[in-house]
Amino acid sequence: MPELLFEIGCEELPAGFIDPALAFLERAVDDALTAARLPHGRVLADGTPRRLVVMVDDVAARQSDLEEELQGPPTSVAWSVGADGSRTLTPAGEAFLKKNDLRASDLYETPGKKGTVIAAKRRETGRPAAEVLGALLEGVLPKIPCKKTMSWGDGRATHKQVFARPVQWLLALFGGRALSVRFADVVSGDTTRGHRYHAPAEVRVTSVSQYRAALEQGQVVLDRAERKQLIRELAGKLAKEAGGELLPDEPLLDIVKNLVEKPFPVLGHFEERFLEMPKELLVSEMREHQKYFAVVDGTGTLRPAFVVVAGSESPQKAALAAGNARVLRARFEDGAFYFRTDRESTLASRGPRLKQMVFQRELGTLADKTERLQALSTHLGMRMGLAQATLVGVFRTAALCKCDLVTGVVNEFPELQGVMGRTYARHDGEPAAVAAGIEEHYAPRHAGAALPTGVEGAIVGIADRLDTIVGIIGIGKAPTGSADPFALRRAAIGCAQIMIGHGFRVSLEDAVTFAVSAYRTQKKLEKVDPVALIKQTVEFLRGRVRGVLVERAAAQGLAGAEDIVDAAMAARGGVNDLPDVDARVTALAKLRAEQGASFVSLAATFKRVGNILAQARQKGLAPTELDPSRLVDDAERALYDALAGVEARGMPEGVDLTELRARGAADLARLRPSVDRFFDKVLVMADDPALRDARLGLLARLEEQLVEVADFTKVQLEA
Amino acid sequence: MPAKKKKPAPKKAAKPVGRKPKPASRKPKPAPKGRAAPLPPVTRFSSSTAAPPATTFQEVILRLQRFWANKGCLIVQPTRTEVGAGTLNKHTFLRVLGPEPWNVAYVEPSSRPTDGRYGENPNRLQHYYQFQVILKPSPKDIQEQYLDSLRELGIDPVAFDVRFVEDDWEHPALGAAGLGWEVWAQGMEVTQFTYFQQCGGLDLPRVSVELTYGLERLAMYLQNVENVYDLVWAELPSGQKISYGDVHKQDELEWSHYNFKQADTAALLAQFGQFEAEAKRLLAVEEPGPLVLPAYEHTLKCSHWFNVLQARGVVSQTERAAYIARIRDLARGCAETYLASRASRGFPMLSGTERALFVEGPHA
Repeated sequence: MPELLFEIGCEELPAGFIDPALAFLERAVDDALTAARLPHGRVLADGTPRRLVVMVDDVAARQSDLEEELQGPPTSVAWSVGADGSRTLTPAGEAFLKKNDLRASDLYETPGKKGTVIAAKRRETGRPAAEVLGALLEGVLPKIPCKKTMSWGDGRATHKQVFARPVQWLLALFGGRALSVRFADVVSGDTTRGHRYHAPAEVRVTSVSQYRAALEQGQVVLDRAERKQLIRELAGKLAKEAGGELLPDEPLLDIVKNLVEKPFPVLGHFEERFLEMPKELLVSEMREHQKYFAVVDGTGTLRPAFVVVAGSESPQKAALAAGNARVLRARFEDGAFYFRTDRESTLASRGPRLKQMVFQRELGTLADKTERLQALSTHLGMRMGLAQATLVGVFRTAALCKCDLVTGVVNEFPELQGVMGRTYARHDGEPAAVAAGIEEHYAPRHAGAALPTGVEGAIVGIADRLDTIVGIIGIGKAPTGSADPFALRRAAIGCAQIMIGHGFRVSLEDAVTFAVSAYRTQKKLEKVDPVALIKQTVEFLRGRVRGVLVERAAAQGLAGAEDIVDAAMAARGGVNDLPDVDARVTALAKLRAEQGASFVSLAATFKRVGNILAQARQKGLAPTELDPSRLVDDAERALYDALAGVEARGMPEGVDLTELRARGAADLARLRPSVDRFFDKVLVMADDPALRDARLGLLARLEEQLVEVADFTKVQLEA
Repeated sequence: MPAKKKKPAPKKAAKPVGRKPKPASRKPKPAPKGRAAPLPPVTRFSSSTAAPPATTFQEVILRLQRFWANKGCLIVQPTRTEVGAGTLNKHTFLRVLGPEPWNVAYVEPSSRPTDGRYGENPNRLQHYYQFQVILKPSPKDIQEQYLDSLRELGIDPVAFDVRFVEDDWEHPALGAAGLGWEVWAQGMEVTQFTYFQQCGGLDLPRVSVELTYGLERLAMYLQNVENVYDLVWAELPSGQKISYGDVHKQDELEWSHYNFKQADTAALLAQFGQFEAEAKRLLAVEEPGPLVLPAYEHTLKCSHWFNVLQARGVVSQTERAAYIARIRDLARGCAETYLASRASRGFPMLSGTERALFVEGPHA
């Protein structure tokens, strides 16, 4: 069966546009063919900076014929029956005919969802594919997602179509024959072009295989994976020549593969003296502006070499390497200049300059923020009972953590924030833990990235995020829908991950309350009701905490734990101790995974406890203190004993709380038979008020234990 | 493998979509001074061969001027007011507005006070030269035209690995933005290549393409020198060589002192306010109507004094945004007023078909 080939030839497309555009094209063309009743084989999209290409195998030569039933209004609405029994179409019935271009004789009756409706068959003979494909492609092309679009020439006045970059040519071929596709100021033809410099002439195309051959001959590697692999191999070989290997950098590979139609890597060198600068700075200089690959030895130490991936085969490789090296040297010189002058003053002495940097207009400068971070970090550290010496380090980390933002290097390379802070802090003779904390307070830097390793970075990181969250919510810019310009969700997730990962048992409400008061001390957010702000912030945090807990359970193979997370978060402790909530979620989710049906009945049993007590409380029958001597039935005495056993387990010294929590869940599971028997044998709402109160009292004692672990009314009972 | 079998591509040359060479009959009413008699023909190189390298700084300028003159550009002269870039010259900022066609090329001496290094840094200057080209509307084969201009200078795109790398351009103070590339030669950005989408906060009915060549960088590559002051500016008939340093080193030293240490900040601050007030007043003149060109020149003064104040370190981060907003408001006012003034004159440079499309047609 015939094949479809569609190529969009463009002026150089942005590297980041290409992969998503191709993913879209592959899916959209597939869907459009299906919707057009054109059975087809595999759809494959690939491309380079100058072309987006879709190839489809085995496209049917004709559309499948269509036969479908059109259903109209109910018969009683569509027809009116006259006194003599004759039927005429009502306006509603006529409208159905008109809309679908039918005649009354086409109509029949058929059972619809709500009684009998009028209906008709619509038949459409499939048209030749060649007649519909042009319009199909014209429909897909303008929908390719572009972050930014542009017009060119007089497009705004004439065709009005926009794209990521100007379109130069279109090639549309079906079964070896050209289709007609129009976009912007271009009409499709049956020719393509090779590499911009090596093979610029137009080449006629007759088939997919001949097209592929033409591109290969034309110095174009269409396959993105192949270009990437070529870079990896050829650049790797060059790195070996320089006595090392490529610094692994997948994101850079992904960019560079989309900067060239065919990679021609070239090895360049720089002077060893530059190696005195921090590795991160050199790598940033190479990758950010120049898209060069760094070369490292076996220990990860930089070699004085780089690989640039040229886009054409230069006859003067040495000159090309030297030219690129010259650009890099100028950049390194600049970097070296900043690195040298930055170290002429200490980080600590830069504090006052933070007054020049606005954090947020209504929330003050970075100096203000630093002051708040010092207070909040210290507060959190004290709540966690840190030793005095550690607290001093935390305070120092908070004081210095933003100071590298007013250095020359970070001004040039914002992504080096933290890294340069650590480097300069070490240079100034700050303690290693403080230096590490300065770098790590930004961790995790992105989803899935490592958490801070030290307590200094962890606490200051939490403080920094909480301060931002409280402040931004306070000025009324909480995230809405998909809009989260200050990345507050990311910040909240980071907070939760650090607290759980580091085992920080800090009450969210307490931390937020302190963060709010830190603003108010500075006479900021004074017009906001602090109680409402605290409530809104804690609610916001709870939402993110929930997500983190669900994800953590899923990561242990315990997917679908949303209800258990809700139950655990609604336990007595609330979100005052996240590591504890996390441990209970894990324990309960494991219990459910291991016990299946019996966990469901356990939850049902405990749910019943809650329900009975809730009903009693509604009737004003608040259970009083339990008087065990009032209990008469064996079943209730047995429950009492079992409960007393659980209560007495206490809090032994030296036992990890997390483990204790997990054991708590198991203990509860063990209580279940006694509870079940109790419900079997005993009527809680006994006629004798004293007995009834005793039984309610017993259940209340049980509830006391349950709410430590979870609110079981929130557990889903259907598996 | 320099297998260059490119055919002359006659189709492309004969059919530049949407752009016609300016016929003499459509000359602007007050003929700009730079529009001299037709220039003598320049040696034409086939698009696959680079010319011998331009060996002096002035040769680079001369070749670019001839190249673009032959492509139908007016060769005009720099603005007389200090600007940070050729984009601020009225020949770009105002002429890209509205539907009238405009093709122009000029050298722009550009001032970046904070980039001064007292003549000590081999790559940084507080005053440097841009070669600016505006083609409105953007021709379909503009990339090829541009590559030919490099070949004209002696830069073979293959040997120099010339590439178009995404770089979207934005000038907040001008309310201007466009999409395009920085053009790399051997990893060095030698040209900013932008399709203008917006200017003075206004959407543009016709898209201009702006090419901004960094003349010093290009010349340093062509002459293979590492220090800008070592560039040969000219080789005189006597054989004597005049260097870039001979021409500009004293400038760099004195102006760096001025920009960083000597400029009278109180006076500049006051002048900023005066120029701003004057620009506003000129835009509001009732009889004979707004004087937009003088107003725009006062706006440029504000912009430049602001740059000097920044170099003097007297503009705090918070004030910075406020100053930029003030300049942007002026620029926007000038853009709107200029467009209105051209409209009231009936867009005199439009051809009949263009008028039908942009003024009388559905897109007016």
